[in-house]
Amino acid sequence: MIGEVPLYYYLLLSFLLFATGMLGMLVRRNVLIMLMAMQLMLGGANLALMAYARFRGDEAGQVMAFFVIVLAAAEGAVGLALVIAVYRHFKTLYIDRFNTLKG
Amino acid sequence: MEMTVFIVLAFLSVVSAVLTILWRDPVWSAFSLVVCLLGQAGLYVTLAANFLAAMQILVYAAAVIVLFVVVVKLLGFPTDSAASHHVKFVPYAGGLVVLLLVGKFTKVLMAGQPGLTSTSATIGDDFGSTATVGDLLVQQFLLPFELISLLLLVAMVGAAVIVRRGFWRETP
Repeated sequence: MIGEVPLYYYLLLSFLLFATGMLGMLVRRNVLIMLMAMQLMLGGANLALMAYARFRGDEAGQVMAFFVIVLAAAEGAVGLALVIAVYRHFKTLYIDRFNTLKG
Repeated sequence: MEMTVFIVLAFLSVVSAVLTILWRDPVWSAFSLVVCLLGQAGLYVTLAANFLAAMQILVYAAAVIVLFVVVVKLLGFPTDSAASHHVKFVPYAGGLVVLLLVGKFTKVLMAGQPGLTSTSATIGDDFGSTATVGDLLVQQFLLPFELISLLLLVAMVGAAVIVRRGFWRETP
């Protein structure tokens, strides 16, 4: 079906997505956008798994990517619940304002 | 032809990923993230992972993004803009890290992967179909599959407990 696009194009793309997510995680201070950046990183890693699965002809990589998707869903649910709980306490979404652990 | 499809989808994914982390308004970020995830689903199809592409659209682009948009709308647009400029060095540090990683990564790629050629393995028509991936899930990967369903349940209960009012109230 493919064969024309080399493997390292996919790897480079997956790295670009991962790097974008990492940059978003580092630069942005809004926790919602940081969570979305984390989803970007997971997506980039997933693409690499999928590319290796295709180029090695081994479907176990796809199963692993399936588990990553499920984990991302669970992480999103817990993360957003934490965001809501923290927002109730601090009345802000900016992570620099979350300056106390207890209180 | 495949190259054209790949380039279009890759361009779409990267541009929308960059937009995701650039918008000030989280709603626009969520919509950019949808575009990025749909582009990734298209890339999965070019990698003969049809079942995973469907899962990506169902779980990510539908469920997770709806969750994000609901939370964004629930909390409203944050007006506390002063806090976003506290750490000025972070863009530079992030750019440096990314540059270093790109250099490392291209070096690894140019050296070539041992035991893995750049051309794809020959695969059958049912590679990545629902039947074959499903077979793997309930035979070879049965224990991880059950464990991850348990984890999903725990995450669901945990999320419900965390957002419950009064959970964080101190009980001396």
